[in-house]
Amino acid sequence: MALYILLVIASIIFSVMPTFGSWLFGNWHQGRIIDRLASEEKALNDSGAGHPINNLSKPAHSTDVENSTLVMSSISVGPSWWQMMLGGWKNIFGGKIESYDKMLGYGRRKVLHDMRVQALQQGFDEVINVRVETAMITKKSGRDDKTAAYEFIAYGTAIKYVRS
Amino acid sequence: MSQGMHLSNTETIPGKLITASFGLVQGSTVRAKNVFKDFGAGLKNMVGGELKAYTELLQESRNEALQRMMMDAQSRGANAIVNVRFATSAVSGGAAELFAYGTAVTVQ
Repeated sequence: MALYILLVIASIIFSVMPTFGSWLFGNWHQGRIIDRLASEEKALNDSGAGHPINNLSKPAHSTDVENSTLVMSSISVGPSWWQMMLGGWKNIFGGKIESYDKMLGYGRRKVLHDMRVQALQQGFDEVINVRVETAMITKKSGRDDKTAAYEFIAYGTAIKYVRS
Repeated sequence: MSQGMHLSNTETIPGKLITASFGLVQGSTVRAKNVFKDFGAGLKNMVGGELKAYTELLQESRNEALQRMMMDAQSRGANAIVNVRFATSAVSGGAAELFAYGTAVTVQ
């Protein structure tokens, strides 16, 4: 009898453990990378770098352009198992899936930040005609429901104005 | 980027004049994920966040698609590609297609 109770308790612990761990470490890890991104963004803003990114189709300030090139940056992110589980529950009654917001929002911010850094480092003044796309790169299938990945790509034309 | 080919996702190359157009050029590549990376990414999914293995794989593949597009343009005698667009799709459970297309032109 005692053995049965022990077995039941052990199986409950082992089935709950990954989800619990995912909740605990997932929140910690995601909070950390989001904080890091926020501090990088703040440092760049404080250094007076400006916001050179826009989605206009033509250079806004002048038509005298010295140099231009295509810049792009991409990242793939995934929600944690815990967030996927919450999302799965939400699907029953529908509604806003807040648990996915965190990572998808992070991915989009990250690609735009990376592109801004890339353009500024290469000495460009502005990035025009920016497009941001989202793609689902792994499909959830019945057998493998523990992997989900979304890719964000941002691309645009970096331009450098002629110095007068 | 490479071989002095001008790339842009705007309709013209800013500050340059288009003199000839050679039509649509494209490059694509289909990449399957490797089992080990897939396993690693699956574990990384436990905590969520960036999946570096996939990020690198897709960046490599996208660069290859771009290279193929540029080779296509070069073979037609163009020196620039305008209105470049990217598309990504999961063609099956384990593979992704990266696709780049644009209009090949010559600019002065």
